[in-house]
Amino acid sequence: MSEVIRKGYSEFVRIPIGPIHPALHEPYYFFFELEGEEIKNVWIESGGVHRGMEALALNRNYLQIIPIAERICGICSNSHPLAYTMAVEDAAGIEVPERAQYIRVIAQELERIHSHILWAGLGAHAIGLDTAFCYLWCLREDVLDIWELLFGGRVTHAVNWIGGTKKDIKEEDIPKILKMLKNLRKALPEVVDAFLYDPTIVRRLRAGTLTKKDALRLSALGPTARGSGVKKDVRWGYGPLAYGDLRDDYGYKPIIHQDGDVYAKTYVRLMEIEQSIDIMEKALDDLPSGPYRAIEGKTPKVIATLKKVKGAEGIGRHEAPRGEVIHYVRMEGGEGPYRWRPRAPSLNNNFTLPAMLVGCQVADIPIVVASIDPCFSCTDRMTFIDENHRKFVLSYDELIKISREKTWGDA
Amino acid sequence: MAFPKLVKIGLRQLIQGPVTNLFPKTPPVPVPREFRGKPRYDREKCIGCGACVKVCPSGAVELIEDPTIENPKKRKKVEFYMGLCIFCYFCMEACPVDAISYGDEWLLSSYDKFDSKLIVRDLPEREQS
Amino acid sequence: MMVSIVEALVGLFVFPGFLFLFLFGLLFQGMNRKLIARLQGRYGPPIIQPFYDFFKLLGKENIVPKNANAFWFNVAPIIAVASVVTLMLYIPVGYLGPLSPVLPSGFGDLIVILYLFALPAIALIIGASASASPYAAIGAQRELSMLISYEFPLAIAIFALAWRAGTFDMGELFATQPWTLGGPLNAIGFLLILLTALSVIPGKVAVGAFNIPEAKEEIAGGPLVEYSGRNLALFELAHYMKMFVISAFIVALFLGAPISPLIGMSGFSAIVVDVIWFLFKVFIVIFFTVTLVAAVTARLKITQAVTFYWFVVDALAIVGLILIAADYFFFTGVM
Repeated sequence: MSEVIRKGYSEFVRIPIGPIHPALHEPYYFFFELEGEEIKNVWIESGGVHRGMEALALNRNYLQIIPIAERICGICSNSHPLAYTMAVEDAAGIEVPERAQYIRVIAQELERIHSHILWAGLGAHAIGLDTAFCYLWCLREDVLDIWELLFGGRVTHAVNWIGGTKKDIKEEDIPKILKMLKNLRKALPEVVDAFLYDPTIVRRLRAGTLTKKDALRLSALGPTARGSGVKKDVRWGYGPLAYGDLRDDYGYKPIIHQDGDVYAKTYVRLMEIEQSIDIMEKALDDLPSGPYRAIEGKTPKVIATLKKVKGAEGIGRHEAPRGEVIHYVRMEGGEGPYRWRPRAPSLNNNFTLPAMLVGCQVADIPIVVASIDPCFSCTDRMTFIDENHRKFVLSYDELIKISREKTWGDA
Repeated sequence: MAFPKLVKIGLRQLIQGPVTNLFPKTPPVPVPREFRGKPRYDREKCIGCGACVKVCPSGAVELIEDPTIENPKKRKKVEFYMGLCIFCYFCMEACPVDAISYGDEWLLSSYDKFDSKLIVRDLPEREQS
Repeated sequence: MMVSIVEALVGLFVFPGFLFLFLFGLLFQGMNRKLIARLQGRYGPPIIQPFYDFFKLLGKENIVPKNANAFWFNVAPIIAVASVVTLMLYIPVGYLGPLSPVLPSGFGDLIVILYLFALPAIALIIGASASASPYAAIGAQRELSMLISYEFPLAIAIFALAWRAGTFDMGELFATQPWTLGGPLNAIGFLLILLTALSVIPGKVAVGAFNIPEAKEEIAGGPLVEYSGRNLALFELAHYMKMFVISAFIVALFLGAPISPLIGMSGFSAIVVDVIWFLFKVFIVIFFTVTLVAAVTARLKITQAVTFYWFVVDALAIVGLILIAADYFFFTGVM
């Protein structure tokens, strides 16, 4: 990348987009070669917002990592702590009570609804349609009010707790949730109609095609993959939490679209809002009674339980609104994990961008970049800087070697 | 040529009027019952065990000695620094005597991070008297 | 016909020249912003916000980029403002007569107006090209593509009217109502021509679907990306004035009928009423062609916008022209 910039002469016009640009909401660096309006070559570079999340976690205990995981991403602020707690439960062998599983599903689907509405608003903003942006964010406000009512916060939800959830859903709140869902279901057809049939919007969404082959090769995740016809959804495939029950009882399937362009991704997301509303209604209907935490008692009890676990490792997989989130936890006694490693879905999805952008016009850049619902800050896990402040890149084998040494000691 | 679909939404909003709230001029929207705002800390209930200090992810809780209390064994109390607090309420989960409860105060901006409204020493009503 | 020096100066600087245009250009932009906000369910800024913006920008530092051509970079905004103010002198503000430079006959030529309308866009292109930024270069390319796409339908519309009315004189065209020139076929034809002219306005003003040259999400403001301080204030002013002038031009040509004869007024009060009536019509036109378009359409790509103007709008204009010609040759023209 830096060699490309230093090379100097090129037959194409070169423009940088980022790290700060109105089309990007987080720092990321794109470098384009253009011929007129057409994009000929793209380079991307990450590493603008390394925040040292894993280092922060090193001297904290199991419970203190939950708020850190919540702050990896501002929008998937339920998926990351959920995957982390699932990983810890997997390693420690804690069985989560059924009620907690349903509450987690409800929280997760609430997050999916709010994230997809937010995405549709940002997508509309990227094509200069601020009316749709304002209208959709107004709809999202009702969802955030429900978050506030159920879990006490609008952005940081604090739902998860090791072995269950932090708070229970009260019977008196359920009618309010159902009312919000009903209103949303009533407002949604208008939005779907606008995005899928409005003459100007549709003309703009037909861009940035990711073929099924590329989606598989670059292992795209979430709506990015499903928009290209790849049936990839952790909820209905692997079936974590209560999703397995809901799938078997009601026959849910991943929503896919074959076209692979931004329109297809929009379709997948808008239909998933509807599916999520449905799931939430079903889950609230089926909400079993019983305890909502596996470990009774206050925090010292939880930490004491986890302290006993030695030499165990666990994986938490979960379908966030952007794709599959994987958290890995290794427990070697002590109050905190020996190693905690999150992987955000944007890491995979970001590298599908060059495949989508080549051949597009300059005007397509914001909407195509927005189409993967990028979370650039979530992906930045490491950055290497030597004394001369010049970055160097590790090869695949070196990286594997270093990772193994870090995780297993001298293996 | 299809007709733009947003005309209906736009004109409806034009007639219905704005949905936003001119916040500093008008009172804010009320917060729900268990809103995670500035925590309410009951100093008399506190036994000074330090469980909240241990579980706080951001180090916003500090264990202090209160010299005004006569019994030297009961002098240990805590203070909450809102400049560091991330409103996760893990301290409430940790407290064995339920001395910490949900508070609904959220207008907490200040130029000084040691402002009196950013340090929680006791229940607000008791602190004033 | 001679115009006295005082009258000319008042016309140029006060009414209907700079001061009038400054006031109503910025005021209508304020109303436009307020209405867009209301369409989006927001309160929006105060109506006089563009005045605040303008005066604040005047006091800001004026930065010229290191690689820019300083002369053209600084001259372009002045050309833009000057050309828009000159345009206003050719447009009757709801009446013909004293204080209006457009007199009943012999003043104001359509061809001059058509060329002057291209000048603000050309000034923008010059300024963008002089500012040595790749974003501005892309913006300038897009502005040029837009210019060649919307000028043609506007030209057809204007020449259809001029041909049917038999004159290029702005005063006479203002006094003529195109609907009354022939039978019903003529009226339908002119309705299509009016639609063509109205659909040129969002392209000229670059809003909504046609906000392509500026496109803040794509090329960060396009031609204006390097502009700041006084130069930016002048470009913004020229832009808002252009919005007013193009709408006033279309209103004067097609919807120019004054209201004072209908309610039987005369003298000075009739002029005041006519000006207010004219401003009201301009406001309505701006609401439908600028505010509503800005609020409900997504920004098109440049290729799509050119296709829209060359195939859809041009087809509309040509059908209208054929209807007018048919009316003239088969019904009214034979007399």
